[in-house]
Amino acid sequence: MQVKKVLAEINQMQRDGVITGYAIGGAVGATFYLEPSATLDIDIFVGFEAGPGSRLISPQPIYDYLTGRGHTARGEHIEIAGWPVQFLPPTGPLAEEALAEACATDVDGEPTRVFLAEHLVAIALETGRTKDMARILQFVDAGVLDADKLEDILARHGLASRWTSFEQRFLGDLP
Amino acid sequence: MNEQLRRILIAKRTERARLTALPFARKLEILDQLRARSLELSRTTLRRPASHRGGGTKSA
Repeated sequence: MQVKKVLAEINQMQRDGVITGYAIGGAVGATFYLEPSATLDIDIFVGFEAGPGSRLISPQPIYDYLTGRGHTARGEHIEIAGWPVQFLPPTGPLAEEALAEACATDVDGEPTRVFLAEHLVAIALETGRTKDMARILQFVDAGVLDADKLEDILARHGLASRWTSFEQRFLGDLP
Repeated sequence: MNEQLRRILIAKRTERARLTALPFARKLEILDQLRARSLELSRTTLRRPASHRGGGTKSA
């Protein structure tokens, strides 16, 4: 399986100290909770230390490490085992929390971590593209969300009013 | 809603529930297959040249 090879490479990168941790987000993360649906790439949220004397975090060490292992950089992605993989540093408190609280699992023995369903929904709501709204509806329809946990996350990250708008627009006719 | 459409919707919901319940590893295998299929489609359909360039023989 190609995704397992991707995860093995990222785990090796973590063991080698390039990143301090990671979790799968985006459509592949959503697949942990939902039925699989086609996606173009794999979103990996990574934690790593800022360089000495700098508060800026850069994914450059990841690109250097992986290209050094024979993988190809293509724009914002690194191609690993045929999959374009995008490495995303957490850009705000919500993604930082999602990374810290991600769920540990494994793929045929390869350990990995996946964002909680409630964090995936909150991030999708924050991002707000049409495909994000569709994914939120999938989560609601699948009945996999912990309503109390989601409400808490949305409230703490200033997304409660956006959720109300989402409910009014998309969930108004649900029984 | 007629009976046939109702049965189709129930069948779709049942299949989605079956796919949702699969182990993560099995779902990722399906993602691999979906990606391979998308790439194959893009190679064979969308990017196929409109003309028959290169497919014939030159007479000169």
